[in-house]
Amino acid sequence: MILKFLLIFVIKSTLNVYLMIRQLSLTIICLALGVAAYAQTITGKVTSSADGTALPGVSVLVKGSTTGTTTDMDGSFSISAGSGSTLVFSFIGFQTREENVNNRSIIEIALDEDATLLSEVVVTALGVKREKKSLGYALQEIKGESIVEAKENNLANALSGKVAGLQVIRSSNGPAGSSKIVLRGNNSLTGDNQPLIVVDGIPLDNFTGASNNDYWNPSEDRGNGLGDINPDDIETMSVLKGASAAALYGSRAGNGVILITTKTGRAQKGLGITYSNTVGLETIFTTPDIQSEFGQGINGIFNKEETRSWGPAITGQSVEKWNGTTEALAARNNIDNFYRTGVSVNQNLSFQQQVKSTSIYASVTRLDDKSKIPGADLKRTNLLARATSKLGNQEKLTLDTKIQYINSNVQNRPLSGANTSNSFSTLYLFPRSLDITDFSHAINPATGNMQWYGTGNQINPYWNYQYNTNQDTRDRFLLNASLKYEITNWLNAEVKLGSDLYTTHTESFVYAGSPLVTNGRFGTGKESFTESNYMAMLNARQDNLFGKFGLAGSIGGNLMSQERTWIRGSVGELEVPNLFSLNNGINPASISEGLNRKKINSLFGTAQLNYDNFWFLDLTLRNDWSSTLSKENRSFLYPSVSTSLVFTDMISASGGHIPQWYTYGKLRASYAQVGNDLSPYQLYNTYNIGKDPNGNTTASRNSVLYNPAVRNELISSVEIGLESRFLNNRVGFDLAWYKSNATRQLIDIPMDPLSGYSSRKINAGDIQNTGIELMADARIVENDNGFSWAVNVNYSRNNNTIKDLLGDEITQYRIGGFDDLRIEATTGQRYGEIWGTKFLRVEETNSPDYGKLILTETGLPQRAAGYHRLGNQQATGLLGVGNAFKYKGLTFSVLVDARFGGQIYSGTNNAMQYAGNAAVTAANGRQDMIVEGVVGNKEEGYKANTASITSQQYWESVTATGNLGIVEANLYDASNIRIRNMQLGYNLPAGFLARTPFQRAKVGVTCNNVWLIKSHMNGVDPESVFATGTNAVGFENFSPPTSRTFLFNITLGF
Amino acid sequence: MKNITSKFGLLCLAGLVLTSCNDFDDINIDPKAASIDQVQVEYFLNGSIIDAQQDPHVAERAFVLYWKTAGHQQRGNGISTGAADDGWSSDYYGGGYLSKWLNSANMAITTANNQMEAGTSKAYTHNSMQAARIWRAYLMSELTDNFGPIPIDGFQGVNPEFSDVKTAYYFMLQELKEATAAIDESVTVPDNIKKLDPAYEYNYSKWKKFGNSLRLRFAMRLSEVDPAKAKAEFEEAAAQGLITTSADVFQVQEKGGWDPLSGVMSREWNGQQLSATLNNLYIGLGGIPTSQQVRSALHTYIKPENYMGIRYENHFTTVTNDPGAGYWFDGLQAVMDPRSYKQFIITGDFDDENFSSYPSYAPDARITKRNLLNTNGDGSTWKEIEAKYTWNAFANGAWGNKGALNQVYTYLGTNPRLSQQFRGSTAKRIFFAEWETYFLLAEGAVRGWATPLAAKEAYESGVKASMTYFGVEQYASTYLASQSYNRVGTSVSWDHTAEPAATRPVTYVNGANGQEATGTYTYPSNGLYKNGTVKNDHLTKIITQKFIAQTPWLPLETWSDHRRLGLPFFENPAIEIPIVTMPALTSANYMTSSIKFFPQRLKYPSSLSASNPAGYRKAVELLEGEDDVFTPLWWAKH
Repeated sequence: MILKFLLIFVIKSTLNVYLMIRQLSLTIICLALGVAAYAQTITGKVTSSADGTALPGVSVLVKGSTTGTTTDMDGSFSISAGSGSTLVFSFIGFQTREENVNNRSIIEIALDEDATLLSEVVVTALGVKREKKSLGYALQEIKGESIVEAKENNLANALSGKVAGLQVIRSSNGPAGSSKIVLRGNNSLTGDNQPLIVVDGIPLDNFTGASNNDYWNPSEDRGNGLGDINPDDIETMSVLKGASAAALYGSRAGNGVILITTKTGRAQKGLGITYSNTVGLETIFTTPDIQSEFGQGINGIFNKEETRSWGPAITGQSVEKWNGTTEALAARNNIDNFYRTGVSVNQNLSFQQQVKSTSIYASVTRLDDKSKIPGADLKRTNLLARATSKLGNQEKLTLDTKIQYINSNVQNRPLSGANTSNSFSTLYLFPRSLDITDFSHAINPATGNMQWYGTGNQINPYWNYQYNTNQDTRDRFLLNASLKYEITNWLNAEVKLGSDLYTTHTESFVYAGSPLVTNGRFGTGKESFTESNYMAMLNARQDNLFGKFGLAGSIGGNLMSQERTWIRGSVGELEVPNLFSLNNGINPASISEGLNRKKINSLFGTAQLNYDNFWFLDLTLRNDWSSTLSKENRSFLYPSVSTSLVFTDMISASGGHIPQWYTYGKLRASYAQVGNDLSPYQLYNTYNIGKDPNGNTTASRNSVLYNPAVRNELISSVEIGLESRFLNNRVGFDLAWYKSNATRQLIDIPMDPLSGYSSRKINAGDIQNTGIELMADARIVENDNGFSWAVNVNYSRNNNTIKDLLGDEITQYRIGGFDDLRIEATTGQRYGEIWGTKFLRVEETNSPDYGKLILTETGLPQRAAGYHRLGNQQATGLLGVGNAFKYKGLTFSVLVDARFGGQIYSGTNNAMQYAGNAAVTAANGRQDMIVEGVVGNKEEGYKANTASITSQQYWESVTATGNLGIVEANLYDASNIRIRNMQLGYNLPAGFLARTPFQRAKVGVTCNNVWLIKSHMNGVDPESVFATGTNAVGFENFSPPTSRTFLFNITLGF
Repeated sequence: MKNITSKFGLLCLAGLVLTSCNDFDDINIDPKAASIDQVQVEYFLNGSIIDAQQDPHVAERAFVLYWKTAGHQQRGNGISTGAADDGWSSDYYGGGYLSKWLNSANMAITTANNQMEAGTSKAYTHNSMQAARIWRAYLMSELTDNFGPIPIDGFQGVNPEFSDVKTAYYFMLQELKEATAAIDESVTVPDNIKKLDPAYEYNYSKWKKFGNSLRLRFAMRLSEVDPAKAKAEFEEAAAQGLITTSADVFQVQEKGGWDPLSGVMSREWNGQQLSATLNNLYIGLGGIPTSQQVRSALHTYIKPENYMGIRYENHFTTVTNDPGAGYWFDGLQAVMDPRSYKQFIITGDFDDENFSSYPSYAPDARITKRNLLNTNGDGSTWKEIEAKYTWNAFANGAWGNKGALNQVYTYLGTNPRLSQQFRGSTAKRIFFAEWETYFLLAEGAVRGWATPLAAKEAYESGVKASMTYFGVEQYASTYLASQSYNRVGTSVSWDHTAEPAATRPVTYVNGANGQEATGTYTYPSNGLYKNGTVKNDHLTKIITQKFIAQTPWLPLETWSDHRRLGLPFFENPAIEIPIVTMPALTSANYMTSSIKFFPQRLKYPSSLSASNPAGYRKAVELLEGEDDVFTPLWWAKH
């Protein structure tokens, strides 16, 4: 008991562990001293041949023995070896070198970097660096430089096109809007389907998007948690795609894991200070195609109060405008006039250096992003300090601490949805001949109210961003500390603790004097989140354990605790106008509060077996105990197994012959299961007690029906892959096939609200993803001192199907959509089927009129009864093609990104057609038309339509049935091809820099969203989906336009 | 040593995991949520009644844009031209609104039952449960009167089965019967519980009256399809205590702000213009001259009794059976129902304290000069219209080019609009008033059912109660004696049932040349009621008076009465150009009345087919027609 208590204490306290391990180490040292030393002591230093910097951590082994050591922070080592023995120097990322001692007592050696990349070392689960060839699953690593070069303010966006099987879904909701990452398709019907983000071993809360995504009044998109991370601080990102790669992360890793490793200090020439400044300009990337031939009015008649553009042809005629003055009728450039050129300035100052046994990295970054959307503004400050020290006599103890602080302040997140506060819809639907800048003063000086035309409840967009405002600030800390002790050269122990802490403070203000609310309203809220993880691990590794077999293994445990608290208050209407206080409501403020707590305890173990370094077998096992499930179901176990065979090495090792051109070949296979638990408080049904506006008590039922018997989710996946490299490693590919089944999903199945609940929590479903991923790269021209050209290609294809929902009981689940547009998951079909209304057509295949529109007697197109399958939102393929060119210090790269297949419904197009603003509504000069089709019916026969209708009548009949018109009419192919990114950089030559105080200097220019080469949505970007917080991405409705950014960067190193 | 270290570590980890799970059960209890033992019957019922007042979001959709438009208490298209909005219907039906109100009412009943079984109930719990049953019956009538078939055993935590409208009505009637009988009036209620009833402060006598009066309303709904049941239920209820005085009215005080108690008609951009239907009832009804009703400064604007207005052929639609169509009335009517000037305020009469300047953020309510445009379409003015002190109401529908050339017919400043008295969030929202009891009794008596009052007495009491509510009781005796016909051929006097002549001569001004002209006014033919042959029988009088009295608080009832009886006369939407959502109405049949020209119900929300597929299929089957706006309910005219 005492021991147990002591142990708990030990794990929770780094300090105690440190003391303990120090004691242990003393014991081990005593033991080591007992070993007889017959050989001489050899000392020396290992450096990199490339830049002469010292290489710490290089393994130095006396060949044929178990004697070995590693180099210290200065690259120095000391080892006992016979005078005729051979030392083997090996280090990840460098070619292994053997050196004969030859009676020397001092050996200095420079290692060459491993240009072949065959022994590429990557960061894997739990932060373990491993040779990529030993992995039995797909893992793609992205270097920090390539992330920084994309210069995206939101880190998630920097991944676009860089990783096969990874899709970035952007919201375009302003400078701090969210982006969603989906790896290998959607596993969950209702979850966010995003991978777990782990920063330096500690999970990061990657909340995404808006909490409410309804059609009319969605809440603001508050960005995604990953967007808080400063790209400059990143050393590498590893994308662990399948469950096998991620199994060790447990229940939250069902959708894969993205591991972020921040920089540690490396020895630098000079001071080690780097300054970088990026100035960005943001403009609208693409806007809907808009007509400029017809002005305000209806039926071809000008009307200064009309909200649509079905008025007369614009010929410069004189008209009386909204304020009574006379002007010449003209088409206005309202969209460009309203938006501004966004300007962002991102300054980064970083310092990294190695001082004796301590390496330090510190950086400060300040981002000021005034978006193209007037009023929207993001300010973010990132501070990071990381120190890694080797301690103790033999430097066997490594202490790594990191403090990361992020402060973000966002003004005026754009308001979206089909409501009057959405400035984007106001602008797109604004009468073509009315000038938006007429309303730029926002306030009518005579009344003090909002300035606008007409009597509708529309909101002047200028007023909107000045007087219907919101802001949120977040303070976030990411804290890490780890202590690692090398018990022997094959065994180490590590404890790690880390926390993600943040507090977000939100406020929203509506001023008096608009249709929104007469006296104004106010809301404020505070949310705090803490997640702490304590982890302890023992790692053992021994090569050549039995003959050529090597074995490595780890066991460990993790304690995770999460707490989220919030309090929000709002007043529906203020008593004293524009006094924004919770005590200034006409009625008492309504207050809501909450406290969510959750814990997961885990034990895990891994074992890796290798044979002669060409065959590898990994096993992992993890058990989680979650506080959110009932006692019977709270413990769940899940395994993974993966294997990798480097068959080229195998053939060589067994004396076989491989053709010269075939450099490297590896086969891999894996199987894994990952479990997933529930959110807190979702087992037992409870009730809400509240207050009515009179201050009296009310009660209501919770809206979700819970079931205490629900179990954990389980995702099983299997993957095989083939990697090959050719022509001395110049060309290679990595091909993967995978299949994953997400079963027993914890989903809220909607219920008829007349049941007493809006939905119920059940275990259901079997959602299958199968797909292939191909990554290929080629260094077509390679010349270190001249011209180089490299190409890399990522292609992926995923098929997401619903094998089962809940047997025969539930065969269809609506993921999203609205009104006549329904995005469904249906048993036996693909995820995201798009259903909706279609045109009424002749359906009899034997009729000569088959397929023709059946029109009304008056010649109008009609909507067919019922709902019909119209398409699917899934892409059939994603392709990224990167080309990088280099000539001496000059680099140029271009990334082309393509999405093939899948459909998307465009609410923007529909509404613009109704308004008479869409370019298609003016296509025929608005001549009256006789729509091609027939009139009549099946029984009495069809005859050709001869009735003439106006263009306005045609478009109204297509768009004005329901909120979304005839769905078929505005369903588009979501395929698109774009130049995602172009970069030009120049490294100033060393010779030139020698005469300056700079060690390094680089200038660059980057452009994101360069050119939409091909798209089908009349100028609406298929990427500007309705919301990132929903899985129904086949729906678009007045999202802010996407951006093109130009970024000019200068980086100086001292 | 190595072994020791590993075992040490293992032990350490296992120990940790085991001990740390001890608090898991505590952690997973939401500290902010209430258990079933902590909630009270009256908390649920209070929440249900308060929420059912409709916050401005759902009130705009359900009360104003659906009910007031479908019930022809205001001019508007949307539902009245066949377009139900799925978003609005989803909101209203959904777990945030009507289903929530019903859910809380059901939870009140369930909780009372639980407490009585467990022996934890209070002396008043049993009565609170009866109040909840009465209130639930009201809410169920909202649900079925809007959508049709509904579940009668919902809220059990499983997707409910739908029952036909008849079963729903039988259930509601039975509930009212049992609940009113079960109330024990001798129980005293503590003050802290009284304030949890925003309508009656748990005055049990009033709850019984409300229950009995609702039973009258529901029984009468079955008058055309199930007269025996209607009669039996009606007579049983009529023999008990009813809402007969203003003190008994079921009503809830509205408040400012933005919450469920905010005024149900407070959204400022809703125009709430007078409907042609209501105007046709007002004009000439009751024989009280406008000159007696408005201040003397306005007398010069009063036009002669047989004057129709100025005829503008190119600007005002005539493709409707609204008898006033085609004219702009450039002044005040000579004879008006005195409640008209209390319910709606004369255009431009800013001195009237009830003139609504909504929207307060724009000047339009106070702009009275507007234009008719030149027919060449260049937007230039053909004729300026001064609408100050005028009184017009136009048919809704598709006005086509005439609408495009007309800046007057839908504009805020040029149309009489609902009195600010009902919009400013200071009134009490009425769910059941004494006049409705009287009109129900009158109708029952006309049908030959046993009633505590004779038909005439009930009718006149209803009229007087309504006139008293609107503060015009001084005209009551003259009014009740009047044999003056309104525009649809109905008079007030109970004993005057002579039909009007088919036509009468009128004068008007030809708008094209300004010349006075004479013409013939034809009373509209309401084919939905007795084939259009009867305009002035007792039932028409009752429903005419009931329609006016129920304005503006009970638009769902005026909609239901029209669906049930085809009364009063509703004009067809104008059909200058085809209406996509009302294909049955054409330029060939617009002079006839048909249930295809008036909305009959709301479509179920689109989410229902996904959330309760079996229930939805059954509901549509029981509807005996398509899930469509024009499918009539069981008790409605077919």
